[in-house]
Amino acid sequence: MISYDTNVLIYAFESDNQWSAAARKIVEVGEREGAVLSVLAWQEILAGAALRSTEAEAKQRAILDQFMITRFVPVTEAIANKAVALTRRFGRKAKGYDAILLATAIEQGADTFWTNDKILLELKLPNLNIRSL
Amino acid sequence: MKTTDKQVYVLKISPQGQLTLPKRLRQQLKVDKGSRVTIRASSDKKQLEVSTDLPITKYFGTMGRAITGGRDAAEYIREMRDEDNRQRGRKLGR
Repeated sequence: MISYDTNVLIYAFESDNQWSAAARKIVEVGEREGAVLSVLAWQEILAGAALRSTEAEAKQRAILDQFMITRFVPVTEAIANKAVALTRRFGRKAKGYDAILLATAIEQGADTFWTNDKILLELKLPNLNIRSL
Repeated sequence: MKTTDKQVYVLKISPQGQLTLPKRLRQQLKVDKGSRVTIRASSDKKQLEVSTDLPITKYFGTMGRAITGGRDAAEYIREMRDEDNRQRGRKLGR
Protein backbone atom coordinates (compact mmCIF):
# COMPACT_ATOMS: atom_id res chain seq x y z
CA MET A 1 0.00 0.00 0.00
CA ILE A 2 1.17 3.49 -0.76
CA SER A 3 0.75 6.93 0.70
CA TYR A 4 1.48 10.30 -0.79
CA ASP A 5 1.72 13.97 -0.04
CA THR A 6 -0.74 16.75 -0.85
CA ASN A 7 1.56 18.03 -3.58
CA VAL A 8 1.03 14.78 -5.51
CA LEU A 9 -2.73 15.31 -5.42
CA ILE A 10 -2.30 18.84 -6.72
CA TYR A 11 0.07 17.80 -9.51
CA ALA A 12 -2.52 15.22 -10.60
CA PHE A 13 -5.53 17.55 -10.64
CA GLU A 14 -4.03 20.82 -11.81
CA SER A 15 -3.30 21.45 -15.48
CA ASP A 16 -0.40 19.66 -17.10
CA ASN A 17 3.03 20.27 -15.64
CA GLN A 18 6.27 18.34 -15.56
CA TRP A 19 5.04 16.18 -12.66
CA SER A 20 1.47 15.50 -13.84
CA ALA A 21 2.06 12.16 -15.52
CA ALA A 22 3.98 10.68 -12.60
CA ALA A 23 1.50 12.05 -10.04
CA ARG A 24 -1.51 10.71 -11.96
CA LYS A 25 0.10 7.29 -12.16
CA ILE A 26 0.58 7.26 -8.38
CA VAL A 27 -2.99 8.36 -7.70
CA GLU A 28 -4.23 5.69 -10.11
CA VAL A 29 -2.11 2.96 -8.50
CA GLY A 30 -3.52 4.04 -5.15
CA GLU A 31 -7.05 3.71 -6.47
CA ARG A 32 -6.38 0.24 -7.85
CA GLU A 33 -4.20 -1.25 -5.12
CA GLY A 34 -4.90 0.87 -2.06
CA ALA A 35 -3.61 4.17 -0.75
CA VAL A 36 -3.84 5.81 2.61
CA LEU A 37 -3.55 9.54 3.18
CA SER A 38 -4.06 11.72 6.19
CA VAL A 39 -7.28 13.66 6.30
CA LEU A 40 -4.96 16.66 6.55
CA ALA A 41 -4.04 16.17 2.88
CA TRP A 42 -7.74 16.34 2.09
CA GLN A 43 -7.96 19.53 4.18
CA GLU A 44 -4.87 21.08 2.59
CA ILE A 45 -6.00 20.67 -1.00
CA LEU A 46 -9.46 22.00 -0.16
CA ALA A 47 -7.99 24.90 1.78
CA GLY A 48 -5.81 25.77 -1.21
CA ALA A 49 -8.88 25.80 -3.46
CA ALA A 50 -10.94 27.71 -0.87
CA LEU A 51 -8.34 30.47 -0.79
CA ARG A 52 -8.87 30.93 -4.55
CA SER A 53 -12.66 30.80 -4.78
CA THR A 54 -15.74 29.06 -3.45
CA GLU A 55 -16.27 27.58 -6.92
CA ALA A 56 -12.80 26.05 -6.87
CA GLU A 57 -13.44 24.60 -3.45
CA ALA A 58 -16.77 23.09 -4.52
CA LYS A 59 -15.20 21.61 -7.63
CA GLN A 60 -12.29 20.14 -5.70
CA ARG A 61 -14.65 18.73 -3.07
CA ALA A 62 -16.66 16.98 -5.79
CA ILE A 63 -13.45 15.55 -7.22
CA LEU A 64 -12.32 14.18 -3.85
CA ASP A 65 -15.69 12.45 -3.55
CA GLN A 66 -14.72 10.35 -6.58
CA PHE A 67 -12.04 8.45 -4.68
CA MET A 68 -13.18 4.86 -4.16
CA ILE A 69 -10.25 2.96 -2.70
CA THR A 70 -7.96 5.70 -1.46
CA ARG A 71 -8.65 6.42 2.20
CA PHE A 72 -8.28 9.71 4.06
CA VAL A 73 -7.58 8.71 7.64
CA PRO A 74 -8.43 10.88 10.67
CA VAL A 75 -5.72 11.82 13.13
CA THR A 76 -5.93 9.26 15.91
CA GLU A 77 -4.05 9.26 19.19
CA ALA A 78 -1.73 6.55 17.84
CA ILE A 79 -0.95 8.66 14.77
CA ALA A 80 -0.40 11.76 16.90
CA ASN A 81 2.00 9.84 19.14
CA LYS A 82 3.89 8.52 16.14
CA ALA A 83 4.10 12.06 14.80
CA VAL A 84 5.59 13.24 18.07
CA ALA A 85 8.14 10.44 17.87
CA LEU A 86 9.10 11.61 14.36
CA THR A 87 9.53 15.18 15.58
CA ARG A 88 11.63 13.92 18.50
CA ARG A 89 13.85 12.08 16.04
CA PHE A 90 14.09 14.58 13.17
CA GLY A 91 13.37 17.90 14.88
CA ARG A 92 11.98 20.69 12.71
CA LYS A 93 12.24 18.58 9.55
CA ALA A 94 9.29 16.49 10.72
CA LYS A 95 6.77 18.49 12.65
CA GLY A 96 3.20 19.70 12.28
CA TYR A 97 1.45 18.51 9.12
CA ASP A 98 4.61 16.84 7.83
CA ALA A 99 4.86 14.60 10.87
CA ILE A 100 1.15 13.73 10.81
CA LEU A 101 1.22 12.78 7.13
CA LEU A 102 4.22 10.51 7.60
CA ALA A 103 2.88 9.06 10.85
CA THR A 104 -0.42 8.24 9.13
CA ALA A 105 1.43 6.36 6.40
CA ILE A 106 3.47 4.39 8.94
CA GLU A 107 0.58 3.68 11.27
CA GLN A 108 -1.62 2.45 8.41
CA GLY A 109 1.07 0.16 7.02
CA ALA A 110 2.08 1.98 3.84
CA ASP A 111 5.48 1.02 2.48
CA THR A 112 6.08 4.08 0.28
CA PHE A 113 5.36 7.77 0.71
CA TRP A 114 5.53 9.85 -2.48
CA THR A 115 6.31 13.54 -2.28
CA ASN A 116 8.23 16.26 -4.05
CA ASP A 117 8.90 18.10 -0.82
CA LYS A 118 12.64 18.63 -0.46
CA ILE A 119 12.60 18.58 3.33
CA LEU A 120 10.64 15.33 3.59
CA LEU A 121 12.85 13.70 0.97
CA GLU A 122 15.83 14.16 3.28
CA LEU A 123 14.29 11.90 5.92
CA LYS A 124 15.26 8.25 6.15
CA LEU A 125 12.80 5.92 7.86
CA PRO A 126 13.23 2.17 8.36
CA ASN A 127 9.69 1.13 7.42
CA LEU A 128 8.69 3.84 5.00
CA ASN A 129 10.42 4.59 1.73
CA ILE A 130 10.08 8.32 1.03
CA ARG A 131 10.36 8.85 -2.73
CA SER A 132 10.16 11.72 -5.18
CA LEU A 133 8.11 11.72 -8.40
CA MET B 1 -27.70 -15.60 -18.40
CA LYS B 2 -29.20 -14.11 -21.57
CA THR B 3 -27.40 -11.90 -24.01
CA THR B 4 -28.62 -9.78 -26.86
CA ASP B 5 -26.87 -8.14 -29.78
CA LYS B 6 -26.69 -4.97 -27.75
CA GLN B 7 -24.39 -6.71 -25.33
CA VAL B 8 -26.82 -6.50 -22.49
CA TYR B 9 -26.28 -9.21 -19.91
CA VAL B 10 -28.93 -10.34 -17.48
CA LEU B 11 -27.20 -11.80 -14.45
CA LYS B 12 -28.48 -13.52 -11.37
CA ILE B 13 -27.25 -12.47 -7.95
CA SER B 14 -26.03 -15.40 -5.85
CA PRO B 15 -27.28 -16.00 -2.29
CA GLN B 16 -24.04 -14.33 -1.14
CA GLY B 17 -24.92 -11.20 -3.13
CA GLN B 18 -22.29 -11.87 -5.78
CA LEU B 19 -22.45 -11.37 -9.52
CA THR B 20 -20.37 -13.37 -11.95
CA LEU B 21 -19.29 -11.56 -15.08
CA PRO B 22 -19.59 -13.92 -18.05
CA LYS B 23 -16.29 -15.02 -19.59
CA ARG B 24 -17.04 -13.21 -22.85
CA LEU B 25 -17.63 -9.96 -21.02
CA ARG B 26 -14.48 -10.42 -18.91
CA GLN B 27 -12.51 -10.90 -22.10
CA GLN B 28 -14.02 -7.81 -23.67
CA LEU B 29 -13.34 -5.71 -20.60
CA LYS B 30 -9.88 -7.26 -20.25
CA VAL B 31 -10.44 -8.07 -16.61
CA ASP B 32 -9.61 -11.24 -14.73
CA LYS B 33 -9.37 -12.59 -11.21
CA GLY B 34 -8.28 -9.76 -8.87
CA SER B 35 -9.12 -6.96 -11.30
CA ARG B 36 -11.16 -4.09 -9.95
CA VAL B 37 -14.16 -2.67 -11.74
CA THR B 38 -16.28 0.31 -10.86
CA ILE B 39 -20.04 -0.11 -10.62
CA ARG B 40 -22.01 3.09 -10.57
CA ALA B 41 -25.74 3.30 -9.90
CA SER B 42 -27.79 5.73 -11.96
CA SER B 43 -29.55 8.51 -10.09
CA ASP B 44 -32.88 6.66 -10.29
CA LYS B 45 -31.11 3.50 -8.98
CA LYS B 46 -32.48 1.46 -11.88
CA GLN B 47 -29.29 1.05 -13.88
CA LEU B 48 -25.78 -0.06 -13.04
CA GLU B 49 -22.85 0.98 -15.17
CA VAL B 50 -19.81 -1.28 -15.02
CA SER B 51 -16.52 0.29 -15.98
CA THR B 52 -12.86 -0.57 -15.85
CA ASP B 53 -12.00 3.12 -15.77
CA LEU B 54 -11.42 4.66 -12.38
CA PRO B 55 -13.80 7.59 -11.79
CA ILE B 56 -11.01 9.74 -10.40
CA THR B 57 -9.01 9.62 -13.64
CA LYS B 58 -11.67 11.69 -15.42
CA TYR B 59 -10.74 14.62 -13.21
CA PHE B 60 -7.01 14.63 -13.78
CA GLY B 61 -5.95 18.04 -15.03
CA THR B 62 -9.37 19.60 -14.55
CA MET B 63 -8.46 22.07 -11.78
CA GLY B 64 -6.42 24.33 -14.04
CA ARG B 65 -4.40 26.53 -11.71
CA ALA B 66 -7.20 26.85 -9.19
CA ILE B 67 -5.23 25.59 -6.21
CA THR B 68 -1.72 26.99 -6.48
CA GLY B 69 -2.27 29.82 -8.95
CA GLY B 70 0.32 28.26 -11.23
CA ARG B 71 3.04 27.78 -8.65
CA ASP B 72 4.85 24.51 -8.07
CA ALA B 73 2.66 22.40 -5.78
CA ALA B 74 5.48 21.20 -3.52
CA GLU B 75 6.72 24.75 -2.92
CA TYR B 76 3.19 26.03 -2.43
CA ILE B 77 2.32 23.40 0.18
CA ARG B 78 5.67 23.88 1.93
CA GLU B 79 4.95 27.60 2.31
CA MET B 80 1.44 26.91 3.64
CA ARG B 81 2.81 24.51 6.25
CA ASP B 82 5.62 26.82 7.30
CA GLU B 83 3.15 29.68 7.62
CA ASP B 84 0.88 27.52 9.81
CA ASN B 85 3.84 26.62 12.00
CA ARG B 86 4.88 30.28 12.32
CA GLN B 87 1.35 31.36 13.27
CA ARG B 88 1.14 28.57 15.84
CA GLY B 89 4.49 29.67 17.23
CA ARG B 90 3.30 33.28 17.51
CA LYS B 91 0.18 32.20 19.39
CA LEU B 92 2.38 30.31 21.80
CA GLY B 93 4.59 33.39 22.17
CA ARG B 94 7.67 31.74 20.63
